[in-house]
Amino acid sequence: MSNTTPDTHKKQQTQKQSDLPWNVVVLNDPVNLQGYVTMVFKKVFGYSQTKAEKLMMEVHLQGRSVVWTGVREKAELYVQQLHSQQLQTTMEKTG
Amino acid sequence: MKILPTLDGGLCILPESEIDWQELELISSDEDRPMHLAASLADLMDQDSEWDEYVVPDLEENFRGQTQAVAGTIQKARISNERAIFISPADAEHWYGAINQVRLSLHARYDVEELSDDGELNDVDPELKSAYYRNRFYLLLQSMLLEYILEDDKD
Repeated sequence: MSNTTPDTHKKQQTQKQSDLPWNVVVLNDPVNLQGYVTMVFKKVFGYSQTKAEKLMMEVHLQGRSVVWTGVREKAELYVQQLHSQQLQTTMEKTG
Repeated sequence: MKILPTLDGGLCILPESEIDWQELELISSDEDRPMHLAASLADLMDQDSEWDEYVVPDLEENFRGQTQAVAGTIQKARISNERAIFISPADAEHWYGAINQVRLSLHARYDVEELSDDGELNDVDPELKSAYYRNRFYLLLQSMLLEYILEDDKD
């Protein structure tokens, strides 16, 4: 049995919703070179060559890849860095 | 045009004709390109992010800095006795970014990536053909920047 009133339950739900992590999503584009995208993933996220290449291939073959998940502020920072490297990037809430 | 690696880890471009110089100058010829690119990236974000207000001005300044750096280097080389364009390792990212801007713009305008050189080009509009060859040259230059300067060890 819940010991919360409907109002607090709703508040908790809203709070929980806004606490959900965010995905940083890189989209495929016709211009960027595969080696460049791999290099950017290594530089921005500190990923290994293997992981960066795997994510780059996901972008290339599936049209998109979730390259990082976490809190909104940090996700925005990463998107900004990827935009400055001219990678088509967006963010979306998980769940 | 010749492109050679240099001893300091950069590249040297040796234009051999007026057309070569023009092709290089076209990398930074469109003053609105940085603004359009920054705006198109902002379109990928939702309204709540306020990307237009807080991020787009910085992106635009960054992209404009790339094209201005390239334009300045080419202009200096044009009037120098050496008639050679040197891209140092420190300048490589500016060059790569400026070329990427022009390739994105060529793709948006002409869809050049969809064309191929196996006879298909014989019947196309001269403007489109020119865009195709420009894109090929820029792609080659970007690949060399990546291979000789930007890519570190693949560990």
